Amino acid sequence: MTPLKGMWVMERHMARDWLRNRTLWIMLLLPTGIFWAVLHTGTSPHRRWFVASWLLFAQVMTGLMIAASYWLEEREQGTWQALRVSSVPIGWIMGAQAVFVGLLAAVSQAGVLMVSCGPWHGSLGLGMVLGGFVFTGFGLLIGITSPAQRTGSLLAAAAMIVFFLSALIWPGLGENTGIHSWLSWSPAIVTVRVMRAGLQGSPLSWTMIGAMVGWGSLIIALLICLLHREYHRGLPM
Amino acid sequence: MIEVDQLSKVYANRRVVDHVSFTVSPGEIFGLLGPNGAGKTTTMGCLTGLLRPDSGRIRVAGYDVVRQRSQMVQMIGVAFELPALYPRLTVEENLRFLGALHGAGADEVKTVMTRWGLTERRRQPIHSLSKGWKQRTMLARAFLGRPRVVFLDEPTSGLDPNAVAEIHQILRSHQIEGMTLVLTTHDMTEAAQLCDRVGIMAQGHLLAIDPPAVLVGRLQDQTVQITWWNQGTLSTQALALADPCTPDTLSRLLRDGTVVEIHSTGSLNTVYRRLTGGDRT
Repeated sequence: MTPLKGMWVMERHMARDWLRNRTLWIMLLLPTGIFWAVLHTGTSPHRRWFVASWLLFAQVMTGLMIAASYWLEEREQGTWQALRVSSVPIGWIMGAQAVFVGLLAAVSQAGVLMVSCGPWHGSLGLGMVLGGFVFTGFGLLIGITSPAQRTGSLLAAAAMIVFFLSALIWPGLGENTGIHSWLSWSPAIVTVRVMRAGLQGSPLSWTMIGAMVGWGSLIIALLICLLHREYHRGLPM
Repeated sequence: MIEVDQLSKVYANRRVVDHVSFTVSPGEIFGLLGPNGAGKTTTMGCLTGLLRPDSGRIRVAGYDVVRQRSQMVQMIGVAFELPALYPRLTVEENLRFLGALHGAGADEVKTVMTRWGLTERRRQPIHSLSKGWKQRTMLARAFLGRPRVVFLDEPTSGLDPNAVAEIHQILRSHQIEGMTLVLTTHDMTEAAQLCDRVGIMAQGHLLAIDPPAVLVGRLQDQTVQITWWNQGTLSTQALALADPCTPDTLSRLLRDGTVVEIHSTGSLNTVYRRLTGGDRT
């Protein structure tokens, strides 16, 4: 079987398996639902920042949380081992999982955008896609490093809150403070800044795009290291 | 079919598998026995390519498990101790998906389901099945993709005797077709009945490897416990097989027709307990 066919088999399987999972539907629809409710309570001068932050919420809610719980479930039920002894290379299997969850993150963000009623620009899509994959990567990292489903779920929830809150408080921090400039390179703030530019129709900041790609590359490198460690030492105990 | 040469694996400065060597012939059922922590699971992990050996060489179906891992995994099937199935999916969906990853088509899935008696339950989700049916589905999965070697971790653990007998029968039918089976088990009766040869491990070492009957035959102090009707009451006596009088005593009692039960103390269980130090407790 070619790796691409293996990926396609994985995608179909994940769709069949996860669309029967009610929790997934809740996580997928929650960002849009809450955003719709919040938007209808009035207008805010910080609307653009607010939309960008809410897109981030959709990314961490679906990307990070679903990727982590999917991975933890695979580990807990032992199917991860079964996938590892299949003829499809493990990198392609993880790639297929990331693509599936990344698509879900895109669907969730699309819901938020539809509710916000624009205007937005094409460059926003880049931030949405890149952000979706970066947080899916964080979810996979949490899944692979957590020893049990309970601790992994707690860690994923904590990471989601930290990412989302940091994006919310960042504009309020003094621009000359050290924490402001330090946080500005965190994946959450970088993603929100890219998406805000997309919402405003500003030209793309290549530094910010580079930072997102950098985060993505770092996560991929860490995932490869962890898989390598698993092969040498077994699963984390 | 399997060649293991000086396999070693170290975890946290502890050598969990220590220079283990053995071979398994094509069409053989080989059992790996040993107490918890003996190194069986690690050995199986290395044999299936899930773990990288620290030293030594392993060849499975002609392929080196480290350097030719991708070719090797196409030749094997693995049934893990955990169910390793997707609980929300049905039996058929599980087998189709996991089979597809091993190159098995829909027809092969149907054939395997029939052979393992799963056809009637094919539309049931895994979470609604009993442990026995889950186990059966997981075992069936390991045989998809026409593997040449199948590794089974505790294949009948916790199953009722009828299910065990049925599974043994299916496993033997696969053996007749030339498949090589490697299994781990804590059930000595299963090992004695099913395996052509067994290897007994403890503390990372392979202590013995032979057919179960040969291992039992090597016991020096075997005894038979005989129970017979003796003037209206039941009498029991242990007779040492090494004692020259034992054959005469046994044949006299058998001639009299009063024997109720003869129980041999020489079993694979005794061998296992002696080798692994369990008889000292």
